[in-house]
Amino acid sequence: MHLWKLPVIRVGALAVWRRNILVWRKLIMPAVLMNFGEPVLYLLGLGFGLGRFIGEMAGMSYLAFLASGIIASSAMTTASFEGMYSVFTRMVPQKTYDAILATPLEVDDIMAGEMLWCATKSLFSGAAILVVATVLGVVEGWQALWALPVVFLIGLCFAGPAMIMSALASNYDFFNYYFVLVITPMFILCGVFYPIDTLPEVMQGVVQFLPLTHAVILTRSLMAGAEPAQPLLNVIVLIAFAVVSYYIAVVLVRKKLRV
Amino acid sequence: MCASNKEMSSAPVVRARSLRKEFSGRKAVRDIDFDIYAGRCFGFVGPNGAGKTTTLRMAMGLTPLSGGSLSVFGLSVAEHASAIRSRVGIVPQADNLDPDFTVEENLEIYASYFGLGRGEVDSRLDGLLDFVSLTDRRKAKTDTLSGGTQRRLTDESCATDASLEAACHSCRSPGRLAA
Repeated sequence: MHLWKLPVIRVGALAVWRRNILVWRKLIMPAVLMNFGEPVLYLLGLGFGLGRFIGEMAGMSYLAFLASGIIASSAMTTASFEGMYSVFTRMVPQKTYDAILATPLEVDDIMAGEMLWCATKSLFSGAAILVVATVLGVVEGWQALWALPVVFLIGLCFAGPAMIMSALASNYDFFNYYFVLVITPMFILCGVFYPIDTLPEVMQGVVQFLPLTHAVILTRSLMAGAEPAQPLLNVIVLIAFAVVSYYIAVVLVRKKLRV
Repeated sequence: MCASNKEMSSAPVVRARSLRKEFSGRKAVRDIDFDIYAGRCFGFVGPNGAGKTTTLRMAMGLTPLSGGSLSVFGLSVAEHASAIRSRVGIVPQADNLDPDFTVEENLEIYASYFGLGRGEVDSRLDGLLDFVSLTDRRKAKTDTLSGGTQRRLTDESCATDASLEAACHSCRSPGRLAA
């Protein structure tokens, strides 16, 4: 009952994850359309459209550059949407968590299940982009499949902060702050559309603290064959964001639901 | 306190001593003592804001005590909330059925939170649906049910818990607490 007690994750978390995947299955058509439609539009529209003027970027075709960045940013936005709008809906208006808390499950399990589910949705989106990019011929070899576990990790990394926002929010409009002040700047600055070494020097330092920078470095190296300088560091940053944000989210949701 | 064997066997299912709850200085539950024994119907009666719901939420480990002691099945709620909830059916004040699922899916998903597998639930589903007269609506989405019918289903969801014994137990004893 202590607010700050370290969370314990039990198998029950999978029941929460399963609940969400069963709901997702009922709405599979719009979900699949979203997963494939978005990257196709981005890659064809920007990749070919802008790519004609840009030619190569960082030693690869612009389409390859963009595809290997979009797969990371899409994992970010997918997990963020799920961790905010959907988690908030289940937590507040729909009272799904109240029902779950009348069972042996605890807030720790619910949050872990939700986080796994957010990352699973990121994985679906990443898999769709990988398929589209392969069809467009911009994927370099089988090692690109390693992008899938990385995309899952990116999902975990961004699910936690989004769930923190859900715990702090009193309505849906609150999420605009996070999107405009956090998600969109990362989308623009972290190397999705152009290499970060073209940023002013100060900004290059700043973006090193943003998880999407590390996410993009990893997916770009796996999909387009670029060499990451410190892949271990990139992975550790993503894991650290996931773990710390999970803990904070658990504490805040305990506070929100229990007192 | 010393209890003979006979008294031990009829130990209260729920025992509260000097139970207290404060919300930022405002007293919601003020040093209450009560015992609830197995096989009895027990109700809290009081005006709005008397602390009835808060007391039940404390008994299920859903909100921390501000003082005193509270045990269920002899287990302290502060440390064993999850174990207690695995043996108790709780009917909440407001219906919180899952609107995304049908009647039978609701029962099945809810049972999965108790660690019950598909097979175990299937074998019990017909009986439960029959009990609440919802056999013909088993494939219906819950938000298409009438208010009273939703209430019956919420009531029954709480009986899909941990084991059949627990479900029966909760029909007969204070295991089933209506908050």
